[in-house]
Amino acid sequence: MGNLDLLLEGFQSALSAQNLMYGLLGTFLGTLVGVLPGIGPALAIALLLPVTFSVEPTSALIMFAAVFYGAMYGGSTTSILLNTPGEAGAVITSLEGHQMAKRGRAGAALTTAALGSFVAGLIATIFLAAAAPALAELALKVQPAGYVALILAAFITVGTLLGNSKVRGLMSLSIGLIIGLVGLDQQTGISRINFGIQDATDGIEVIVVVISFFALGEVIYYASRFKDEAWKVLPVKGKVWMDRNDFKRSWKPWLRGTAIGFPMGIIPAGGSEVPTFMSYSLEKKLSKNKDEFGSGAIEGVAGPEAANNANAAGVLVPLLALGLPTSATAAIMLVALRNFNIQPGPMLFELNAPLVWTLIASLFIGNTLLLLINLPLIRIWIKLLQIPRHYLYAGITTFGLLGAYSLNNSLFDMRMALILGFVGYLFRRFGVPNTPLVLGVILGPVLEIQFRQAIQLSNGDYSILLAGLLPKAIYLGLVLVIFLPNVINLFKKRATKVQS
Amino acid sequence: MQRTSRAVISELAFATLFTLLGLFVLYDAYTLEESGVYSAVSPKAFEYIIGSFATLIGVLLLVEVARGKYGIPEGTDPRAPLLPPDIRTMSIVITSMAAHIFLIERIGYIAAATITFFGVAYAFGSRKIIKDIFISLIFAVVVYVVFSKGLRIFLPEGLFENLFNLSREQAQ
Repeated sequence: MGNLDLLLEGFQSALSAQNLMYGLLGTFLGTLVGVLPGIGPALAIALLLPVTFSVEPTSALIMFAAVFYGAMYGGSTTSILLNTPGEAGAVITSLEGHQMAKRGRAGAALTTAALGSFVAGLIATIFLAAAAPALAELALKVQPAGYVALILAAFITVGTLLGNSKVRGLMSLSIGLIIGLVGLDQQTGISRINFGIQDATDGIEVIVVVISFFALGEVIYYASRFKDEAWKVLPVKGKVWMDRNDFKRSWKPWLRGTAIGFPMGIIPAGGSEVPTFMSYSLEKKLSKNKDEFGSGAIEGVAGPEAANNANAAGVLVPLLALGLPTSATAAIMLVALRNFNIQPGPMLFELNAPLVWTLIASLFIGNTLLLLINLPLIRIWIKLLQIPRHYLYAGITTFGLLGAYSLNNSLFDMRMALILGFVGYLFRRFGVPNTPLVLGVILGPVLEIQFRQAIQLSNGDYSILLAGLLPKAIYLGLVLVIFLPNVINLFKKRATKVQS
Repeated sequence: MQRTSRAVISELAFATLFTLLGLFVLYDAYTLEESGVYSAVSPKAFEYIIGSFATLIGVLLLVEVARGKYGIPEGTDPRAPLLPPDIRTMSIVITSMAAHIFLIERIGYIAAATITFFGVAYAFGSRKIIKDIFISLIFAVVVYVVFSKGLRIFLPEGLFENLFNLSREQAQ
C-alpha cells in the first residue's frame, strides 16, 4: 500500500512546533467565529480564508483543518445554548441540546457534543484516509460523461432534498449556475452576462458569494426582523463534565451516529440534514428513556452531533477523490485547496501526495487539538455568546465586507457582495436554501468543461453522455430517487381508498 | 396559513423577478457574439440550457405561489403570521454597508470600518453613542493592525493609518 507511510510522513511534516501553534490558533479562531450566532462552518472558513493565505502551505493546511473542526464545534455550542443553529446539521442538536440546557444540563450536553464530535471525527478521518485514495483510483477511469452524470446527481439531490420546497431548492441552484456563468468563457474567451462592466469579465468569486449569502444577507434579514427577534443565552450551571451515566448513555449513539454520518457524506445526500435526523430518530427508537426525548435526552445530542461531524469528514471523500463538493462547507474547502495549488480530483493522490497526506494528518491533529483546548475553554465560549447582538451584527458586517475586499483588493467584489447580500436576504425571507446556490456557482463551470470534453471526445455525438455503465446507473438512480416517493404515495393512497 | 395580501404580492413579485432573470439569461445567450475560436460546444449552448432551466423553475415557482404555497423563512414558525419587514432598520444597515464600499479607498480602512460598525450597531438599537464610537474605533484599529501588520494583507490607508506606519518605520 504505502499509504500508511505517506500518512506518517504527513504527520511528520505537520507536527512541528510552529505548525502546532498554527493549529492551535486555527482551532481558537474557528471556534471563536463558529460560536458566534448565525455563523456556520462555511462562513467561518470563508471569513478566515485570507488569514490562512498569509502563511506557508503546510501550516495553512493545518490551520485550515483546525478552523474546520473548530467552526463545527462552535456551531453546536451555539445551538445548544442559544437555540439558533448556524447550519442545517446543527438543527437536530438544538432539539434535545437546548432542552437539556433549559434543565440546567448544558454542561453535559456540551461535553457529549465535544466528545462525540471527537470520536466521530477520529473514526471518520481513518475511514477517509482509507476511502479517498481508493475512490480516487477508481475515479481515474471515470470519463467526462461520467463526471457530467455525477455533477448532475449532486445538483439534483442537493437541490431537491434541502429545505421544504423542491422548486425553491432548484431555484437556488439555477441562480448559482447563472452566477457561475458570469465572466469569460474559459474555452473561447467570450464574456457572458457582464452587464457591460469590465470587472465582471473576471467572474464572481465563490468566496464573495458565500460571504454575501451567509453573512451580509443574514444581517439584513435580522435587521428586517428586528422587532420580533429576541434571544436568551442559557447559563451553564453546575459542573461542565458529564457523569458516568451520561457517558454510558452516550458512547453507543456516538458510534451509531458515526456509522450513519460518514457513508451519507460520501454519497451526495443533500448535506447533514438527513443523516443527523436519521441518527436522531434511531436514538429515539433505541433509547430506554423515550419519554425524555423532547425534554432533553442526552442520546439525542450525542448521536446527531457525531453524525454531523462524521458526515463532514465523509463529504471530504468525494471532494478529495473526485473534486466534487456536496456541501457549502466542502465548496469553500475546494476554493481554499485551489488557492494552495491543490487541485482535488483523481490525480490528487499522485500529483500532490505529500500535501494531501499532510492535510489528512492535519485533520487528525485539528480534531485532537479541538478536544484538548475546548473542554477547558467551554466557559469562555459561553461568555462570547453574551456579546450584545448589535455589536455582533456590526462585527459580522464589517468582517464580511473585509473578507470580500481582501480577496483581490477590489471595490467591485465589495459592490457585488452588497448586491448579492440583498439577494441573500430575499432567499432567507422566501425560504430558499443557500447550499444549492453555492454548489451551482462552483460546479456549474466544472460541468460545462466536462460536458464540452465529452462532446469533443465523441466528435459532436451527444449520445456519449449516456455511454458506459456509470452514467446509466446514475441517471437510473436519479429517476428512482425523484419518482419513487411519488409512486409509493400513489399506491398508498389507492390502498387507503380500497380499505375505506 | 394566514397571509396578508401584502405578503402574497411580495411572493409573486419575487417569483416574477426570478423568472425575468431566467429570460434575461436567454436574451444574453441570444445576443452573444460568437468568437472565431473553434469549440465543440458553443458558449451559447450552456447559457441557453441554464437560462431555460431558470425560466422553467421560475414558472413552477409562480405556480407554487399561485396555489398558496409560500416561502417560510427557516427557523420561524410556519403558522405564525409574518410581520412586515422593519424597513427602517434594514435601510440603516444597508446604508452602512454601502458607506463602507464608498469610503474605504477614500478615507482609509479604519475610518470606514468605524463608520460601518457604528452604523450597524445603531441600527440594531444601541444608543450609547460615545461608547459605541469608541468600540467601533477599537474594533477597526485591531482588525487593521492584525490584518495589515500581522498578516501583511493590504488595506487602504487614509486618515488614521499613517499613525501606525510611522511607528513601524521608527521601529525599523
